[in-house]
Amino acid sequence: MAPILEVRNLRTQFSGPNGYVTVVDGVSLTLAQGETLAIVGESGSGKSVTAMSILRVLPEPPARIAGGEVLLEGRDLLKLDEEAMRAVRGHQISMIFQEPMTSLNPVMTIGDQIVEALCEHRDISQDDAFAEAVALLERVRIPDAKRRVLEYPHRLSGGMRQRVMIAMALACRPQILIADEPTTALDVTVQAQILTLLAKLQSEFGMGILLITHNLGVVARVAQRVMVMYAGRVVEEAPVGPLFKHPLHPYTEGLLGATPRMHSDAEEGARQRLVDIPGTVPLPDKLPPGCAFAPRCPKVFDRCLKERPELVTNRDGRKTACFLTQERTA
Amino acid sequence: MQAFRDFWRRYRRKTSAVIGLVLLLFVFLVAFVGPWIVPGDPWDMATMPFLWPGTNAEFPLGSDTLGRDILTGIIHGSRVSLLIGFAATLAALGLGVTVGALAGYFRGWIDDVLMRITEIFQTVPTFLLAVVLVAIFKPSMTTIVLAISAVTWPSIARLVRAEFLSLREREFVQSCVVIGMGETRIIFRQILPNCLPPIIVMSSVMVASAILTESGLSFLGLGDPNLMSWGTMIGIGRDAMRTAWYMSALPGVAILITVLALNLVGEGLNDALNPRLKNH
Repeated sequence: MAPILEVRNLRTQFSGPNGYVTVVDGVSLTLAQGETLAIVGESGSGKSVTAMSILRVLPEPPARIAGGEVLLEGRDLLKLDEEAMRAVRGHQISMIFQEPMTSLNPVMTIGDQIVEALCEHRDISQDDAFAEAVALLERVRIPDAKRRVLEYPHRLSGGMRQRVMIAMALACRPQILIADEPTTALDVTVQAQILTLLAKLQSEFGMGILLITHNLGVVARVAQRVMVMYAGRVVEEAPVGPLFKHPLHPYTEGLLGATPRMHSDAEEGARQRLVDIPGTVPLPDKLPPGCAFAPRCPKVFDRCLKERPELVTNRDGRKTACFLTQERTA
Repeated sequence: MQAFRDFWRRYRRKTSAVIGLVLLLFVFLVAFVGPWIVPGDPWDMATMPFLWPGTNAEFPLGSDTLGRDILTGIIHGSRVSLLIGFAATLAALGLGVTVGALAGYFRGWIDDVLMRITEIFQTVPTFLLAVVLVAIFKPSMTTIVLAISAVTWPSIARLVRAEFLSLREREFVQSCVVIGMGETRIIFRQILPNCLPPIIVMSSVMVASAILTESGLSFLGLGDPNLMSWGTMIGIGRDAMRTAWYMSALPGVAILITVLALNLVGEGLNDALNPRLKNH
């Protein structure tokens, strides 16, 4: 399927005390209609900055998009003026955030907030907008939507608020929804409900979802493709199944090893210890000269410390940025 | 309606706040129906001068140095004081909220420029600046209102700016940005309602201080010469302070009651609107 969103070589920088620091370095991705692409990585790997660069909602300055293209149906969003960009936001690309507690205006009823979102993009009367707000709340499966529409956010639970957020984001039927850790702040049972809801809405609306998360369990549930980011760069990209079965990059391997799993009996569970990745993500202004992951990599060798591996497509169509896998498959 | 009932429940918990509200409503009532109770002109020399309170039933609060009825003066003065207090606060709110909102929302050079201007106003002693402004532009109701608002808007601007600086970082503002909402809508429909509680609380105290400033100006002879205000009355009574102190004291009590009422109401509003205490 032809991609609706294509990002090429995106570079985002932040000004620091010693000049600009590159936080997102050469990220490329594609997203097709109805597809879910997950971006995973630790905190500080540049996932959220990538998403916010696509929507151009980073504060400039200190941030600046130093290069690349963001093509939405062939149109480069980075070249649009603010007015045209505002028409894209919410209308074609929308976003939901991690914290449903603070993502809603505490002094407005949820109905009014959805009405505001609708009126921004559509020439619609107040009454029609209100009726549509109720319909939207019903679509995100909020029971008793007619009454709930008049409630203030503090009277709703976390899961309900996230549903309202989703309703707001989908108010204008965007083609792409960016979900920045949409379930992190919710408890596990509610997480599952929200993910199921997102998947259902995706099939109803046919939108592409860019899912940003550090939760691999979530990825396995909803995504078709996964992009692993480390220190501002893409280190591996693959379909979900193969990636989970056979991770190529040592970092991906580390992430999977650090995910808790259920085992059939306690003894086996005790043998399969949870492995962690030693160290932390390097700061973007203190990147090592070679592979950014080299200082933490269990399989590091000389070349990794001197030279930076590029993201290369292997024979089976998967992409990695690691000399080991590239040598093995080349 | 539900929100208002909640608010009232929290407000009435504090006795002093209720007392303040009752006093304030009383002052308002006097200002509204006063001219029907005492239809005379407060400038008329209605009786003999230096008439002490309680000596003549027709003039229960006595008369001043020229024989003008003090009760009529106080009742007419309440209209002047309230009108100037609220008008000046409203004007100061208009300017202060706009400046603060723009500075806090856009930050950067807009913030720098607006805040430097605000600081210039803040470095000058407010009452002196008001005196100078009124003296330059001939004392009248309008110039007094403008002068008072010109010296009080900086504190509102700073308050609103601080609120905007913290609110614009909140995620609900971010989520308005990502759904493509325009800046005007975000500033006035989304952020501003969130900083109303501190603005309302501050306004009530500002009305009080505007009334005090107006009284001070009138006392110094810089009041509107056509209006009998409480400050004017105190100024008139000043000459006879030792022999007939009641001439200054009675309008002084009126000022005291009004300002006290406004401060009590302000404190009550603060408690009732403070979000940290809301859920108790």
